[in-house]
Amino acid sequence: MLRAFTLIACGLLIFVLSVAIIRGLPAIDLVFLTAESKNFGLEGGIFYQTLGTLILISGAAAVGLPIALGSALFQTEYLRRAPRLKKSFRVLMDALNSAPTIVFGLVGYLVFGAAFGVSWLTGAFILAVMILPTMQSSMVEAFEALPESYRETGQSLGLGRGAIIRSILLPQCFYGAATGLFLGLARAAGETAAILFTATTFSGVTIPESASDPATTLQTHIFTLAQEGLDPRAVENAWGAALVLLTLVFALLSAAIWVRSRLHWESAV
Amino acid sequence: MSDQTPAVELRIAHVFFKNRRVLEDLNRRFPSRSATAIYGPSGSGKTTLLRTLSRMNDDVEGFRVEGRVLIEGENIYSKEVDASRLRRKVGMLFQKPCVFPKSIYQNVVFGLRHRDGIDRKALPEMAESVLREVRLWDEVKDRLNEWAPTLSQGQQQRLALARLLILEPKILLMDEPTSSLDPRSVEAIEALIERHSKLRAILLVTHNLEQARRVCDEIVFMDCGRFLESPPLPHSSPAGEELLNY
Repeated sequence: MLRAFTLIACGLLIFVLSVAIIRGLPAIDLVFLTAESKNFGLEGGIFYQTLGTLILISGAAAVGLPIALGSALFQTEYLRRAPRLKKSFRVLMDALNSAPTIVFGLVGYLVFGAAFGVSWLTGAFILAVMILPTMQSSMVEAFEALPESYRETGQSLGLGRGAIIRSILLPQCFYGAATGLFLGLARAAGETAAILFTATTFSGVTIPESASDPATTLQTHIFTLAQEGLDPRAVENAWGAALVLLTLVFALLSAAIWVRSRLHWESAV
Repeated sequence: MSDQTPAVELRIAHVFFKNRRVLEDLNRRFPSRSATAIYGPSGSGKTTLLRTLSRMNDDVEGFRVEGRVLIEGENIYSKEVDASRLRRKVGMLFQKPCVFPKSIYQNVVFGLRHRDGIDRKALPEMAESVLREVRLWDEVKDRLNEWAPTLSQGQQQRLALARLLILEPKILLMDEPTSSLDPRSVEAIEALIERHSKLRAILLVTHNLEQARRVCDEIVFMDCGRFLESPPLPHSSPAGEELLNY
């Protein structure tokens, strides 16, 4: 029975990937990847949409990474004598992780949109908050997996908590923390609802010139073209953009898996 | 610190882990230049005592000390004492060696790199000196840049000891440092204890009574979280015999 469920799960994934590849591949060529979108997406390519997506997830990483890292360190290194508080922290992060993404968009627009308007910066902040639990919990897991003997050895050599974090914890957990970052970015790259009305626009934008400019992204492009279902050119370009987006997400997930395989501390210690 | 000031003075009423009392009525002075063995059965509180002396249990939930622990006359559990500053003079060697996934050389100088006012150019010479002290130099002098975790367990323990000695702690706490090590490493560590007991206070937790007699100036017996006031004679009581032969 379990084997059947596993086969169903794998089969569904393979089906989705196959459809995306079969439908998307005919649209993809060098021009599609490097040209500007024209005629409301019916012609040209997706260069600036790809760039916009990369700008948004880079911004989300720049904002979210220090917060995720800081809170993960606080949780694992400074709350060691307060397990209840630590547990509450974890519940809070889980709750944040399970909130519908459209809610992030609404709240984010209320908070960040008031300051930056519909802009890529608003989107980066919203995505940063959204991917925070993914990054944070992955980092917590990496820090907690570090053998306690490493910390105690650092303590016995007279290192303070900051020095232990800088010289032992972060170098040893680098790959674990990087895994969290890539998982978070993969989630951000696939997100549509939260940025649809807060950070992106379908046309009229190439590269955002200021922090208050919106970006055009693959997600918005796919969403808008898919609504033009009667025009086969729109549908084909939507599938092409979807395949590029899927490739980007898989590239980030592969990066996460690769860096996780590099975790190399002495498990025997 | 005058020579009359003991390196360690215990005036411990109780030590707790949450509601569990693990140490009680520990009152004793340990002189500044001598080696003292702490001997007792498993679970008697020896390791807890050592960890209490270097505040290694600070992060353990529910750990608390009732009483005073004086290191060079200063109560280390007063709020003014910084634990990392304390551990610069109270070094601890653990039963199981822990070397960092770095080179042998980087391991030796690891702690020293975090001290202020250290002449970086002098580090290689200092590293050689302590590696000779622990009799590891001849075994590693041609491969100082090799990965330390590839060393044998005995070599790793000597490396951990060298890493501690380079910091010149005034008090050295050793928690069963030779258990399950090769004879060569045991001999090197025992010789070092004998030499360094003239320089600093050494507290050695051991399960090996012969070793305690060989290298220490004094043996303190512990059981059920307390010091036994006088060493039990082998045939004086069933308890004494059991303790000496466990």
